[in-house]
Amino acid sequence: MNERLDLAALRDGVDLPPTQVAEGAWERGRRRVRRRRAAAAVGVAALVAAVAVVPTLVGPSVTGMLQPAEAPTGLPDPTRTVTSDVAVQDLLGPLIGRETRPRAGDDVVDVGSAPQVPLADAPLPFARWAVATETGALVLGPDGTFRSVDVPGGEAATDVLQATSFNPDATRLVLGMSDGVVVADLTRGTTVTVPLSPGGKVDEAVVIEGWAGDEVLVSNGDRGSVLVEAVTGRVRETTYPAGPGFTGNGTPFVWSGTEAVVGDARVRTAVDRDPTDPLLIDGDRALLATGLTLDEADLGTGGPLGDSDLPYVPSVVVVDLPTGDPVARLVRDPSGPVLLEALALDGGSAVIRVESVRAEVVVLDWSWETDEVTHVAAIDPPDGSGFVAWGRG
Amino acid sequence: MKEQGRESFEQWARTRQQALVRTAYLVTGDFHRAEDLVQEALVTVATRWDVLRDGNPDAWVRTVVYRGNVSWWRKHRREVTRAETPERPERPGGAGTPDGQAAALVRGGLADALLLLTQKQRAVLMLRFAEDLSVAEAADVLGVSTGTVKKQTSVALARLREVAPELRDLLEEVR
Repeated sequence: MNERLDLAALRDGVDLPPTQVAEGAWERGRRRVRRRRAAAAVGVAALVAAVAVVPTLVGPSVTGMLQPAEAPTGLPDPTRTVTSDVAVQDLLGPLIGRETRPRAGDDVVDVGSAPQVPLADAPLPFARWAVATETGALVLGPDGTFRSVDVPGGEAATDVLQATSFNPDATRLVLGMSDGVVVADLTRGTTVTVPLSPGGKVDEAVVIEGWAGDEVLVSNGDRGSVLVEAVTGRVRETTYPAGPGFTGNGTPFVWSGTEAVVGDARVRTAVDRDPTDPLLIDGDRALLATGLTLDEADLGTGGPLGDSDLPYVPSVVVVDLPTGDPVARLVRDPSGPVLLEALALDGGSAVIRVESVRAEVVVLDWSWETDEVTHVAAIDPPDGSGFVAWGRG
Repeated sequence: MKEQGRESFEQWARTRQQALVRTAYLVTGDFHRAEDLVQEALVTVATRWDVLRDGNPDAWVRTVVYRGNVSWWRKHRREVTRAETPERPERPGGAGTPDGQAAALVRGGLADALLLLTQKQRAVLMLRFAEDLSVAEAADVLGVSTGTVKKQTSVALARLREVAPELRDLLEEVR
């Protein structure tokens, strides 16, 4: 340490009132963990019966209607077992290194200063990507301009936009609220607001699990999962346990820990998934960011971190769902940017969000079949929000 | 989170909290935000205590605090323009430790001068000259390149010399 400029002595001499910030930290941490796990926990029924809604038509926006009870949708009982013998550690794809950090000459898309119009005034054929705002989301169209989609009341939850918000062809968008969802048909410029029974803190949105055709699967805390039909807002209850989703052909699955049920098969895999981790699906392949290993070297230097809203992830993995085989893995090199979030999977291309202090959102493309990583975009979103969803960017 | 880790976490957190808040105060320039930042960092550590307790929780929480501040600043930078040195919170019963008057004056001047720097500049100086990290280590904590750390250090020291000429001797040998 420089002997003259000793800021340690300065710091130790700063005279501040005694603090008690450690009190209650354990309890708060425990509540936080519970809340995250509850978001995908097992649950049934109560959701549908809780709210009665009269549909109203306001311009291009509609309030959806909860349907009378019917036989809930669920998984068939597994009739066979599939066990993967591929070890994750055997897969070591490219390391995201220093070369993938944003460079000084890179253009940063300043969303806040870009022109925008309401979606209802100018529908889009599909979306490239979207960022969360304080009132909903801004969606970038293929023409390079933004459309705004707002939640009722104009005050969005923190995680209003999620990695799974776009349907596979990026023509529909779901925004999460604490007590429901807003489904936007981008091609028609319409939105449907679907109220669900309140499931959590006002600031936290329901979990958007994934898409099956025109239906999106939504989990609402310990109240279970429902299927919301994107055009009409029709809601069906399900009996799916934790971590549900659909493969590209609509086969339902659940995946928690190292065991999944995919259609009628029980699948054992080496990839350990927390049921709250989002899965991006393309056909039979799933992309997830997962804590497979915790790099001791990273721990020693302070650990890889995201910002306060997003957990860090040591690696990103592509998994073949029917067999449970991990087929590709991306690991962070200590010199490279921290991996934050898996955003999209499209064929041999995976879109990953990494951390940057220069722009709020930095996105890389990982061509997992050819082991190449390229820098895609740096985005400075409005309102300082860091939440982004990837369409057909 | 395993409940058997609670006691060791709380013991660790209580012994670190005051030093962490001091660090956060010098980085943020705001006592209440410093407390918020440290509290959030401790909650984050608590959720990972099963793993961190056998690693290096001090380094980890330090990174959370520094990056948490960067994150806060990014989200609120359009709202914040620091025009003058912020007030320190009033401490009941007195205003400081009885150090030598000259040393106290230098420290007071340095603390005030630090608060005239940008968040990034303060963070870089604190990591280098309070946490005693190398350029590469500071870069890793902040998630930036070593070139950025070197540049920010240089700019920050130049700014200190400008705003606090009385500290020129103290800063002269720092490169």
